Amino acid sequence: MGVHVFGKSIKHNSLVRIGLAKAIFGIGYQTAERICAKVGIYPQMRMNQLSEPQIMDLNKEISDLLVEGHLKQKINNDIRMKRDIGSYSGFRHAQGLPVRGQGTRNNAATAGKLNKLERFRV
Amino acid sequence: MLKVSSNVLKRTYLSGTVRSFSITSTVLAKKPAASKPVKKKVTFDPKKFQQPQQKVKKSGMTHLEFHDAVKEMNFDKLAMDLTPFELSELTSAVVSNESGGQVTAFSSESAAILKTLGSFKKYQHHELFSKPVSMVTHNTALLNEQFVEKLADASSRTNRVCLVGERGAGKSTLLAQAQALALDKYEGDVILLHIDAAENITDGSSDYIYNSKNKTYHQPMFTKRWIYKLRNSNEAVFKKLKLSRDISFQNKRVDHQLKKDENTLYDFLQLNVDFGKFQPTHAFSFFIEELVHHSKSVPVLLSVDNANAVLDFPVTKYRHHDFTPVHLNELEIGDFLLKVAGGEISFEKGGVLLSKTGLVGDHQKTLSTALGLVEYDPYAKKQFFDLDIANTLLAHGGVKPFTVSNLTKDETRTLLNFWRESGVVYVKDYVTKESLKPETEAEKKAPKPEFDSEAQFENLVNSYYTVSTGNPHYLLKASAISY
Repeated sequence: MGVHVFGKSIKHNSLVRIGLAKAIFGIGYQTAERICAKVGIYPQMRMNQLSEPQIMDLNKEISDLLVEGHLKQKINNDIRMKRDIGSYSGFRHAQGLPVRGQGTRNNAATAGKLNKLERFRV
Repeated sequence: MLKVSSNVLKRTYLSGTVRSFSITSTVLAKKPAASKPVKKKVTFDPKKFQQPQQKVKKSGMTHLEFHDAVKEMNFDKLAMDLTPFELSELTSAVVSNESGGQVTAFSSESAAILKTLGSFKKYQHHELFSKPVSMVTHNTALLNEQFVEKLADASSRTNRVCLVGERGAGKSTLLAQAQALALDKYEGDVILLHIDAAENITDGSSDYIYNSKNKTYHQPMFTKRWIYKLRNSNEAVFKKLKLSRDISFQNKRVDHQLKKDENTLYDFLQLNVDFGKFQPTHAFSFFIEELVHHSKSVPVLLSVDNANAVLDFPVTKYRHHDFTPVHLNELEIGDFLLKVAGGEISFEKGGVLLSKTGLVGDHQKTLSTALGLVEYDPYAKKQFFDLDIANTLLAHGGVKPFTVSNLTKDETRTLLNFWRESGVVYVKDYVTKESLKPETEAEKKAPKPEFDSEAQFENLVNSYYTVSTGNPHYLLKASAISY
């Protein structure tokens, strides 16, 4: 059983602040706690205890933030902009190499996976 | 027309044997499906499906964690019956005659009340005995003299005590004993307000809503549960106390109007559901005002276990809308606790009994400083020392510390003897490598030295007393608990 918040199904017995942070891209533990405090959700509240108005309040608060597809689009655009202006980090992104001065003799596998001009498919 | 139809039929017949030259739909059409036999309506015959009755399998498992399961799985029903021991009940008379410790049982009335209040805690191992027992020690006698005896004579402002001592010394047990003694001394005419785990106020486990009138946060879930406990445990007293003023409220769309000097405090607590409503109410403040009013005639004992969990850590898990943390004194119950512990709210007859717990960090200095156990450090960091709370506790004469000391050797002997007789501790000969070897024929025939149970018991007393230094928790751990 999942509880649907912002179009995401979140496990019914998870804490609200944990469930939000796990399910929604762009919301971490700190942001989730801030949202809960603003909406008036107590720290140990679980997803299945949420009432309909509280879910609507959460949706409203989350929709004011830059999350999910919009955030992914922004990240893609930022990388594209770096490439377009011809910066070094844009160049490294395009090559799939570490951006922040790390060595490449060993251990550049993560950069190879992540550093692309289009990091997220939106 | 008939001729044509016969041709078609002939063609149809041929199509099954040789290849047809015609591809008309009539020729290629499939044979009509044979009509399906009508299924009989199946009815459920329970006799056919009846299976021989099997014994329902129960797993015997529990969802609780080990320590919680030990308390909840009713092991006390398997324990030895304590009736033959003829334990005396915990009364003031027993306590005043105390010397060297005496194991007592809680009377059935007080045991029921204390169980409702949550005074018997899970780490006290009450499951070892068929009914709750406790030992009257020098600590009990001293607390009875210094605190319980004064309940009817002094106001709660001047009768404030905090139990301190090392972990497992018996602070929570002493708290329960004080409650039982108060019930015995005043023959049930005492109001017990008990919070068994103060950390539940601040750990974020209850919902909270801001009341702009008194500028505090209500905690409906916590308050409702607490009031329910108080109502059930103090039922007899509350039924005697008439309301001092009229009050009207609504419950399930029914208007209730309780009259002064007619309805009782019990009626108010039973009919009013505002304590648990997610909206600002004045039900709790009305309840406290009534208690203060009636404290002229009935003593009120406020006892808080694990008090340092909130007094030393006053910054709660709750947050304001702007994400700043909520302080203890901004919660309705926390504010009430601080006001009573600080003497701002005073019951004309009564007392405040706080108790520390050894389960939370001891690096906080607020309570210790307020009790005068640690010197005030003006340079202490705010996260380790809350000056406001220390000043609150020091106001109106301050809270007195009561050090719960470990058991004496005589008390240890009495307690171990009771454990031995009730089957909790076994007294047997030491197992050595030599004794585990199979006996030779000569050894079998040779007369064996007689096992002196009493001497061995005395050895055990010495050994366990040395190991535990008389601390009941470590004494039980050394002698009986194998996990």
